[in-house]
Amino acid sequence: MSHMSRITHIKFLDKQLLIDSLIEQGFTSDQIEVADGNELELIGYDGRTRNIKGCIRIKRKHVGRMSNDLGYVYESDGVSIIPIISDYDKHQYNDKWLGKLKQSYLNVLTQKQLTNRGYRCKVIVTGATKTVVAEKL
Amino acid sequence: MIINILEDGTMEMLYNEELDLDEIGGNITSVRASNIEPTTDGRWVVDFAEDEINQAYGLEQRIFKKRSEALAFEVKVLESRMMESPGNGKKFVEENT
Repeated sequence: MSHMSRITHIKFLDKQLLIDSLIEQGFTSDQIEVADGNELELIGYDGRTRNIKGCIRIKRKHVGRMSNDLGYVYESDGVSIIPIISDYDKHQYNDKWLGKLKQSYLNVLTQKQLTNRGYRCKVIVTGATKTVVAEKL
Repeated sequence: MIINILEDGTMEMLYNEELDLDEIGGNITSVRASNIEPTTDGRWVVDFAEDEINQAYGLEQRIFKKRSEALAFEVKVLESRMMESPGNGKKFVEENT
């Protein structure tokens, strides 16, 4: 018997994979600042601090006109990384954009895991869906 | 193994333990998609949860001498549907939970 599984609400737990996914979504590596912990102060559109520090920061000039810094912050568990996107910037960096970011992240993460477990992977793109086809070697 | 990664950042796949879900950190919901039962004459029949699939493959096509053959058929059919219609697995799980 088989069960169909659906996985939702994935968490960003691998910072490097998250950075790679941001690059896949159009940012360049020199636009993405990275720190070990929540050390990078996020600045608002008016040049004032937003009183939030993140482990990843994309300065507002790279986000959009009149935008705030876009950041990623380690949660209190010290492992999960969550996005900090201002209400203004959610017009562009909305749930749809976050979904695509998660899609990029999962695409790389699943292939990495399966390759380490002895699978050969290929990706087929059908419309907006990425299908990982994994074959045990 | 087939894994559909949808643009909303969710995944659908036949349940397996090859992926480390702790590393993915999401919520998993699983619903039975098929069953394999012995027949009175010692063969094995595959019964899909979706009637549409049972109708597409008549009973004779779903009966096998060996259980392993039934298992392979079951996975092949379900995964080929996932390839043809991404998002159906997600819909199926949503409708049955």
